[in-house]
Amino acid sequence: MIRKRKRKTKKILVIDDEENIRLLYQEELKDKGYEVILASNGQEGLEKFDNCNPDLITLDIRMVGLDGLDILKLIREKSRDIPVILCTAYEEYKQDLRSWSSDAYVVKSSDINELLTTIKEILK
Amino acid sequence: MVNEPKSFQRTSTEILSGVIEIVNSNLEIMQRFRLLMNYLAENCGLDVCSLYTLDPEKNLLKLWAQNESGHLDPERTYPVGEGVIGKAAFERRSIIIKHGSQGDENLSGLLSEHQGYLNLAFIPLMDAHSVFGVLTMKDHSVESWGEDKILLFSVVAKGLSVGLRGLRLQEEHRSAIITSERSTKEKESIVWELSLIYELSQAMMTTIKLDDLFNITLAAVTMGKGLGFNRAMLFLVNESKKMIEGKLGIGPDSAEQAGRIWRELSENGKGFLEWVKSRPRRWASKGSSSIDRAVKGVMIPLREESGLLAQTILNERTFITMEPHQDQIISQLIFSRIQPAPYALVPICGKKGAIGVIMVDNLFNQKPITEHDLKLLTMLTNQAGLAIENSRLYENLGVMNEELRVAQEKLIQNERFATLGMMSSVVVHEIKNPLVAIGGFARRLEKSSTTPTEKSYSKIIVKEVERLERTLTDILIFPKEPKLDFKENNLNQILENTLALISENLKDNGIQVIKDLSPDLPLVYCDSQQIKQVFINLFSNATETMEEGGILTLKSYPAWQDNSVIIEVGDTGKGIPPEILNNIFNPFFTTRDKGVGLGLSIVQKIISYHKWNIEARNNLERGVTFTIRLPFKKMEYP
Repeated sequence: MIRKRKRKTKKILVIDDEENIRLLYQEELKDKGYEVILASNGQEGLEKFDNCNPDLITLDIRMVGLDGLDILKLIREKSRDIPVILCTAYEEYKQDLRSWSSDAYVVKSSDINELLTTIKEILK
Repeated sequence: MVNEPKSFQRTSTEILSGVIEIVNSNLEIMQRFRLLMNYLAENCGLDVCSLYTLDPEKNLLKLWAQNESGHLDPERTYPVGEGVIGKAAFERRSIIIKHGSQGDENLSGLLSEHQGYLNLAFIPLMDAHSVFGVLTMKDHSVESWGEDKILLFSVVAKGLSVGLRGLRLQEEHRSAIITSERSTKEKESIVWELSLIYELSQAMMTTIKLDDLFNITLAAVTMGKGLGFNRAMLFLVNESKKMIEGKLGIGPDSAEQAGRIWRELSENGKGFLEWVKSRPRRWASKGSSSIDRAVKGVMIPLREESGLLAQTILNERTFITMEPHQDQIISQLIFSRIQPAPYALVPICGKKGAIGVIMVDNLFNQKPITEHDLKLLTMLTNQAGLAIENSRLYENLGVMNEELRVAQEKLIQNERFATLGMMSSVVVHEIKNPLVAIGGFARRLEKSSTTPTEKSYSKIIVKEVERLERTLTDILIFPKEPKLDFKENNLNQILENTLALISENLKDNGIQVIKDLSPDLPLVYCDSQQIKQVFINLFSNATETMEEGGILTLKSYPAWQDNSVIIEVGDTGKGIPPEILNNIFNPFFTTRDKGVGLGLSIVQKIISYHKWNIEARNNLERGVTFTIRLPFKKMEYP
C-alpha cells in the first residue's frame, strides 16, 4: 500500500507597494492553495524573506525606497535558489541586466492567469 | 559723208507748236518721244536726233529715243562724264559744234565716234537741281547751223527737260508707292508675328500645367493661324536622368485628315488665343495619333553621340535638313513609325540654356522650311521655354510643399510620441496598477456572482478594463524603438500561442476561428515576442471589426517560388473603405470611436523592423485580409 505523502503548502511572498494588488494576489493565490505572505515595501520584503522562508517571491519593481531590482540583488546575495518572479507594470526592465537573475518576468495585467501559470510551472 | 544742206523748211514757231502738240498728245510715252525725234529730225533737217536719259541710281546715260531714218547711233550707254554726251551731262552745258567753226581741242578725242557729222549739238536736259538726259542732234550738212536753229534746239531742250522732270517725278512717286506698299506688307507681317508671340504668351498664362503648355506650344507651331507647320514634335530634357524624353507629337496622320482639320480651323475664324481657350486640348485628345505615340517612345541619353536631337540641345543651334534619314536615331525612332519628311530642329531655351527641342516638318503641303520660318519658330520656342521652365519650377514647388507637409506631419507626430513617452511612466504607475486591481477583482466578482445581473455587470467591468489595458499597452509600446531578439522560430507556433491567449475573448465575441496552417512552414528568424504583439494586434483589430461575431481565418504557407512565407489573417467584418486603405497603418488613424489608432501602426512598425512586408486588402465578399510576406533563404530551409 502506497501512503500518500501530504504535500506541504507552498509559501509565497508578495512584495508590492500597491495595497489592492497585494490584496488581489493574496485572494487569487489563496484560492490556488498557496500560503501568502505580504510585504508593502522592499525593506519589509527582505525581512519577511529572512524570517518566513518562502518558496517563491513575486516582486514588484518600481516601489518607493528600495526598488525591486535592488531587492533582487540582495536576495540573490543570500540565496541563488529561491525562485523570484518579477511582476511589474513595465515592459522595459526586461532589457535591464539586473532583471536577468529572476526566474520569470510577468507584466501585470488584470488577467492574472499568466502569473498563476508561471508560479505553477516554477513550483512544479 | 557730206550732204547738201537741208532746207529749214518751217519757222521756229511752227516747229515749236508741233513739238508742243506731240508732247501733249495721248500717245504712249515712248511713242511720243520717238515721234518727237522723227519730227525734229525731219523739220530741222537733221540726220540724227536722239534722246539719252539718265538713270540717276547708276549714273548712266542710256539711249532712249531716236529718229527712225538715216544713219543711227548704236544703242549704248555713257557714264556721266564719259564721251561728249557724258561730258555735256557732267558739265551741265550744251556742246555745239557748227560746221566751219573752230574746233575745241578738248573735244577732239571725244568726237571720234561722231566722225563725219559736220554740225553737232549735245544739249543737257536739266533743271536747276538735276540732269535728266542729253538731247543729241547731228547732220552732215555743209551749211553751218544758224543762231536761230541753235536757239530753237535750246528751247526744245528746255521743254523736254520739263517733260522729263515730270516723268522722273512720276517714276519716283511710283517707286515710292511700291516701297511704301512693301514696307506696309513687312509691317503687317511683323505685327502678325508679334501678335502671335503675344497671343502665345497670353495662352501660356492660362495654365501652369506642363501638358497644357506642350499642347499650346505645338498648336501654335502647327495651326494655320500660327506658324502653320504640318507636324510638330516636342522633346524635353529630364535633368535628373540626363535623358531626352519625347513629350508630345501633334499632326494629322494623313493628308486627308490634315485637309479636314485645316479647313475646320480656317472656317471658324477665331484667333489663336480664342482657339486655345475654346478647345485647349483639341489635338491632345487625339493622344493615340501615331505621331504622338512615336514621339512618346523616344528616350535617349543627352550626349553628342545621340545625334541631332541631342546636338540641337547641347549646342543650342537650329538645324534644318532635306534628308529625313540623315540622323540615324530620328530615322529609327520616329521615321520608322511615321512618314518621313525633311525637317527642322529648334532648341527650346530656358533661362539657363536649352531644355528641349521642337522638331517640325511640312509633310503634307511640301512647303519648304525657310530661314524666316525658323526665326519665328525660335522666337516662339523661347517663349515656350520660359513658360515650361516656370511650370517645372511650380511643379517642384508643389513637390517641396508636399515634402514640407509630410515633414511637418512627422514633426507633429514626433511631438505626440514625445508627449506619450513623457506620459508613459506616470501613466503606468498611476493608471495601470489601479486597472490591474479593478480588473482582477471584477474577474473574481464575475466568478463568484450568484445572480445573472451581477455576473453581467462584472463582465462589463472586465471587458472595459481589458480595453483600457490594450490601449495603454499600445501607447506605451509605440514610441519605443523595439529591441529585437532574433531567434529561429516557428510562426505556426507563435500563431497558436497568441490564439490561446485570446481564445476566450474570441469565444465571448462569437468569433469562430478557421486555421489552415501549413506543416511545411520553414523556420524563420524573428523576435517571437514582437511577432506575438503583431498577431495580438491583428486579432484585436479583427475582433473589434466583427462586433456581431464572425470568422477569423488564419492561414500560413510557404511560397517556394519566391522564397517567402505568407501569413494571412482574415476577418468577416465591415471591411475598409478603399479611400482610406492607404492610411490604416498611419499612427493615430482610426475609424472607430474606440481606441487611439496605434494598433496597426505598431504592427507595421514591428514588421518593418523585421524587413518584412504587410498589406491589407478587402475580401471579395466581406471583411479584410492582412497578408504578411517574409523572405527566407532557401538554402537554410531545404
